[in-house]
Amino acid sequence: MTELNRPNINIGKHLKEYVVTYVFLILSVIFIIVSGRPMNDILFQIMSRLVRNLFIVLSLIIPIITGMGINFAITIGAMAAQVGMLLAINWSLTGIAGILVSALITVPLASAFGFLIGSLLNKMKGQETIGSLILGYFANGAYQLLFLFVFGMIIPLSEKVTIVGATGVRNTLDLTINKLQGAIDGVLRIHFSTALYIVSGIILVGAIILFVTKRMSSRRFYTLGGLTVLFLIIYHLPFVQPSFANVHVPVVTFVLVGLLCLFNAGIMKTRLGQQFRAVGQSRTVANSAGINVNRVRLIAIMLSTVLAGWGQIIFIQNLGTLQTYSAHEMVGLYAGAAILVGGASINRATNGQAIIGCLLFHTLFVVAQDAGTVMFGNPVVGEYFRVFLCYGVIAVALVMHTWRSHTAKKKMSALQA
Amino acid sequence: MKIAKSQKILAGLVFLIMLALLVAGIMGLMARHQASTFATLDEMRSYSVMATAHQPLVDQYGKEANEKAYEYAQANGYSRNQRRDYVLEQEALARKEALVALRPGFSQDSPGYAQAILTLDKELEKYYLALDAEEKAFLAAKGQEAPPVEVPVEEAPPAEGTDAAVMEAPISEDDAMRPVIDDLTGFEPSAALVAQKEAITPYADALLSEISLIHPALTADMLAGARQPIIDAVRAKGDTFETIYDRALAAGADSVLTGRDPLFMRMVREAENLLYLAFGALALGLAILFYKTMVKRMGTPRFIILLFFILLIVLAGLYDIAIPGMITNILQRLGMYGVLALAMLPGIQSGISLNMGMPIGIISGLLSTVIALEMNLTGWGALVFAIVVGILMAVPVGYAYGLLLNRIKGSEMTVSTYVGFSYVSLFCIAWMLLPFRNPKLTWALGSGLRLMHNMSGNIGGLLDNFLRFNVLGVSVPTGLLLFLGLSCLVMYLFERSRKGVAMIAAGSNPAFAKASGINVDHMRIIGTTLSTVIAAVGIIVYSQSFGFMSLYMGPQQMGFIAASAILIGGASVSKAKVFHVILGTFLFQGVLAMGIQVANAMIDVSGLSEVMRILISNGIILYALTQAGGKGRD
Repeated sequence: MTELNRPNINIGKHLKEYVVTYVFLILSVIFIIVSGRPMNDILFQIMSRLVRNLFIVLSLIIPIITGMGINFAITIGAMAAQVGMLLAINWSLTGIAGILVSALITVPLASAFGFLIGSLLNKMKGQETIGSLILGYFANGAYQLLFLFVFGMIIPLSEKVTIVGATGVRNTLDLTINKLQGAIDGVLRIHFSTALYIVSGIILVGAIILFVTKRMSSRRFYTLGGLTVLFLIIYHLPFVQPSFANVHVPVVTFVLVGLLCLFNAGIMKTRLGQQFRAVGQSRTVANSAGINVNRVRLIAIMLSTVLAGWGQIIFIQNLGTLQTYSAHEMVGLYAGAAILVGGASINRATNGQAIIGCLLFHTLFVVAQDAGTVMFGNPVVGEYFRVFLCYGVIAVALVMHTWRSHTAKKKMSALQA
Repeated sequence: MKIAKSQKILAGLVFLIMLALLVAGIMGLMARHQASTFATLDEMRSYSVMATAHQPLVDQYGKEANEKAYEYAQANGYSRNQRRDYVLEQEALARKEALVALRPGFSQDSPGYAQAILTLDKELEKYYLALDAEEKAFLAAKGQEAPPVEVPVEEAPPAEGTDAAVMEAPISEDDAMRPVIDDLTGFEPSAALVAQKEAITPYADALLSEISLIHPALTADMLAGARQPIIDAVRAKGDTFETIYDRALAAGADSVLTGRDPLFMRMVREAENLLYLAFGALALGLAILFYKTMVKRMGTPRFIILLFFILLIVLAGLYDIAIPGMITNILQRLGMYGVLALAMLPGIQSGISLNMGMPIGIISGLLSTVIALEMNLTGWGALVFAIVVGILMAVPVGYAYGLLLNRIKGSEMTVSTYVGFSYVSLFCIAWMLLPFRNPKLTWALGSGLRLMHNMSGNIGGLLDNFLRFNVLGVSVPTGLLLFLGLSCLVMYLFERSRKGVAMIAAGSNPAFAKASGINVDHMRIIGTTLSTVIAAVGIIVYSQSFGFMSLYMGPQQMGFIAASAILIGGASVSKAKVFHVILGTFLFQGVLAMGIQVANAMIDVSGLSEVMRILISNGIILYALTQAGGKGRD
């Protein structure tokens, strides 16, 4: 991006676009204070939630760019992953091997499902968000059918995953037995401070190299360098550092998340990525430019489904138990809400928005219950507030998006007239 | 539409099979009244009675063999597992040998024995008839008393702490819809009946002595112990041709038949089932023949659901599910969900497509009902109050919701789904915090309304039981159906009114409507408000019929259920009629109601009906979306 077409930063416009994000930021701060929970506990919780959820949230980006809205059908990818994990446990695979096998099984399953999802969504253009939501519900029915009546009855499984004398797969599968719990996270865990130094170091060194070789603008270099140094200084403030005392970073998981970010960014520079963007901006224009719109949309959904499946594996191995019949249900909702909190919209999303959204959303999630207890004397209210936040954020984002595009259309037609 | 040759051949084959089934079934039914069939059945029965009498002897042999084998294993130093296997094996062998050895002891030529069975049978039949009559009278007398008030909802605040704040309602509809098993507690047989039962004793004694004559090895002790099983083998309560035949067959009676052929007897026994299968084959043949026409007229999913409906009818027949009970169930569900499904109608007609924000209306209805309960209102007063207040509250909410929908034309379904979800979860907080004080409504500990509220004693079953009558075992909830019919009539008349015509015009072709001077936005608001109001009334009707009112996340899925009902009936996201509401609710709820019973009869697992609901409901909505998506194609 050259200096010339860098848009002028318009604070009013910026605020308008990111109003949900700022509301969440303010709410988070208020709730953290109200909840009265110790900071190091909150940070510990947030870190473990980030580890669990980041990958899945990032898997939503490609369909958004392709103009297919929030792909709530990522629940189906999660289901594919759960089938993979079930088989891995069934075959008594342990540790990394088990994870790798589940990830491998996920690929063909999720691709096939992704193909079906994409084919269906191609028949309901403009209604993808609701379509994928209902498709997720529908698939949940098929999934229950599979796990309750097909597995164990028609496809025999070992006693590790079924209950003797009853039909179907167990309600809860314990991953600690197979050492699948933390199989990815546990490879290498370092303390937050170490991680911070390493990341800052890499950023600074990279920035200096790029700057010296004149591949980075001076303005960008100073912002980046300044921010990094600022973070380091903030971290060393006397009341900040102890809050991170409990926070450990699972390196491999974050490397995977980083790779996915690079993938999301990198694919946009390829021909396929350009096609994603073109289709997302206007299907008609893309079509007349000779792009096979349906095929591009299909690929976007298939990628998203497989990635979400892998994300679910990360999620489950971190959690340590697989709630066979319900672990996938909330995947789409939480991921969709998180990315919208970050300021993404139905047709525009970046890695940064996904990460910030995930951070803010889960911060609020961690403290909402305690805040509810303090404010209303009732933990259940906090629990319901969390649910309300999820649905509310999505509703508001959808309303704002439609509203905006309507006003834009009206302006366009007014200009033409 | 042209019918392919392969279709004709296939259908022809199916029709041939149907014909064969039909003939066999009718023959079987007719044979049930023939003397030779009865004679064969009697023969089978006398065999099974004797087999029952043998049982103590077989048991004795088995036990002896078991002990012997145990000692042998002990002496030869078998390991524990080996010993267990050996003992079991020896016992099974001994039992088998005993059966073979005893079989020649069964003499068909003993006229005294056969006669004793027949006399005992006649006496038992008389007794059971009298018993049935008394029990029925008892149940009828009990039914007029007030039904027992159960409070199955326990006072525990909802669980907390999990990520998924989804809380299962403690009472599922499936449980509530299960056929009521007659409660006979407190039943006392009359003196005459007891005397009649006593009178049977000598006949039973006669039979036992006949048996001991044929089989001297049976000691008096053994016979006394097997007395009741032997009597039951002659005739048990509620016996029919099928049950007697099944019992005799289980005892291995088909091996000694001299009269009818075993296969023929089988056919006689399965006669009814053969007829059900013939019906199924007829439907299948027609489906194959007119496949293309039907798919084109109905669409694939509706075609599948129709076939599924027929399949369920056949299965219900095969599994001997009582048809009157099933029809009662379907009628009840039709009335229960009909008004809710009707709420979709004005939404579709006014152009906002499926009103997935229906929970907004539902919550108004729930709120008004809770207010009625808070004020301790009961009976018709409570019902009328709840409906009137519900409507009053739904109008402004619906109006505001309509204003919102006018701003987001084109994405109504997506937005309304999430607006509905948000509203439901917002009200979850409200249910906790609203100042309700009636201890009947709130949690015993802490504040907030309970999850489920029992309707019995206030508005429960008011409409259902209004003018309820029984015909052929079917209990018709007249008031409920009348209410549904009335609501549909009102909607039907509205459609034909000036406003209604304008609203439908605005919905089906906004540009044209605008050109003819119709205020499209205004019409959409009318449709949305109407939909919201009907939803509020619908949930009250639903709750009084279901017997429970479910707050919190309860209303979340209602929109989907109502939407799929009207879609199954033949509506699309832009066109709908009152007829679609009735037909769709009937088909959808019929499939669910029958599905639950058939699934329960087939395999002993719960949850299948819920899976079925999820698949059907979401499948039909997806189909409707793909049909509507045609507009957005490039």
